[in-house]
Amino acid sequence: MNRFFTNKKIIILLISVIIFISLITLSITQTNTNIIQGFTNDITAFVNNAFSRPINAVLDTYDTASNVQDTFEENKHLKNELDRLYETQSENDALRDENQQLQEELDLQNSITEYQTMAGNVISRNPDYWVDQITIDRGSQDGVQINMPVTSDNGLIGQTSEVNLTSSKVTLLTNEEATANQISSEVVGENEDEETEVVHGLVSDYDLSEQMLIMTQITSDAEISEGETVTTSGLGGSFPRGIVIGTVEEVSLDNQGLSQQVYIEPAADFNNIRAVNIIDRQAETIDIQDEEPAEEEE
Amino acid sequence: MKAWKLVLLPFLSLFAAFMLEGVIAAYFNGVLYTSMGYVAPRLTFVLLIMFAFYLSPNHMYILSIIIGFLYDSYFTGYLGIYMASFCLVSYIVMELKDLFKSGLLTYSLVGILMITLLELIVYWIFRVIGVTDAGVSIFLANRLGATLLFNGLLIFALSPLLEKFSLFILNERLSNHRQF
Repeated sequence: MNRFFTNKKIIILLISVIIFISLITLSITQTNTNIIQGFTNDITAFVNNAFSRPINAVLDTYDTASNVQDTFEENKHLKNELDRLYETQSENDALRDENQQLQEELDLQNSITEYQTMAGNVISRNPDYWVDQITIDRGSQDGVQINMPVTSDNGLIGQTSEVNLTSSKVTLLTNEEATANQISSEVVGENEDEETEVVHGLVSDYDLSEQMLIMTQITSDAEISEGETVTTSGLGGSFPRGIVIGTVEEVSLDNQGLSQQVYIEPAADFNNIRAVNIIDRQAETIDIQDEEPAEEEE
Repeated sequence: MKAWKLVLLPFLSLFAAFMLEGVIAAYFNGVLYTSMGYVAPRLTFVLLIMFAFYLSPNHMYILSIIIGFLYDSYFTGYLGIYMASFCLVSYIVMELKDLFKSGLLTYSLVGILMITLLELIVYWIFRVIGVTDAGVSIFLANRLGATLLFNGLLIFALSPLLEKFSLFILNERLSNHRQF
């Protein structure tokens, strides 16, 4: 026993325990990452690029090779889709024109539906999966800022949580930590009178066993049917309106039985995220720390 | 020349393993989601255990702190979790290496024990902080079994190579160390 518990070792052990616990507490309480961490993360991400580019290229060629097999079937399917697309496109053009005219008449500045996208690649993902984060190769020098929504395959996957010069980290929606991702969302459907009715709620949780997102705090009593699309509502302050989150899979009552709860099948495939789009909302974003919203700018 | 090799090679190989882990988790996530559960690739940790059998204590602690800091900062953002776990595991392995005869089977068994310890410590700290709220039974069923299996096979398959690599770093011969 003497070999293990000399005085010097106990002192070292106690000091190191205190140091580690204070480090952990410090990281939990601080909201913005400090300079040292940002710098080392940037350098690490830069080296990671060198590792991930070759593997990405190999996987791309493998995907192209396996796609060749399905081309005939896919071609038939796509031709059918294309016919329907022409109709939707002309409808879209008409609506867009009308929207533009109305905006000019009312002299509106940037609406919450407009946004610009930036493409990026995934270079790394957290291997231990308790904190689900990916690292992408776009940083502040490309115009990425904190809390921007990120989509992949036309479905929302998360928002940026840390931005360095040449890389950034995206916290995914599949995190179980409740405060990480609360996204204001809406379901646009039709009620009995054939009018479009918008139901607002909050996508806040992820059910690991069924692999579905949960939308809660639905205030209205409107009927939500399965198969309807859930999109972002833009009311949260930093996300634009209209980004697809998923489709409704199951509607039920929540634990207290007071309001409805919707299980959403995500539109993006969280197991296979390779290329992402970072979305920059054109309208003024409301910062949580601000006391009053800033003046609208062009 | 020998000093450069001793100082640089462990750090570079640990860094390369750490990059590879991130890349594997990013691109092969579908493969890692087996029917038995989710497999967490722990290459860095396996390398760390093997180095702990051979390098001197001071060198080992400095390596664990640096690599633990990089791992924490790049992957989780909560500093101190992996740093503490890596230092603790290096200490335990360095105490254990004198008790057992060194050989390939020892590396694998100690490796499996240490990986269990690491997973338990990390899960427990994340549970206390509030990052995850999965119960212990879910953790055991969904993660621990598959991770242990995969990483146990990994360390069993890689231990001859890693042994040769560590001896190459230290410029020593196999017969001085292997006892069975």
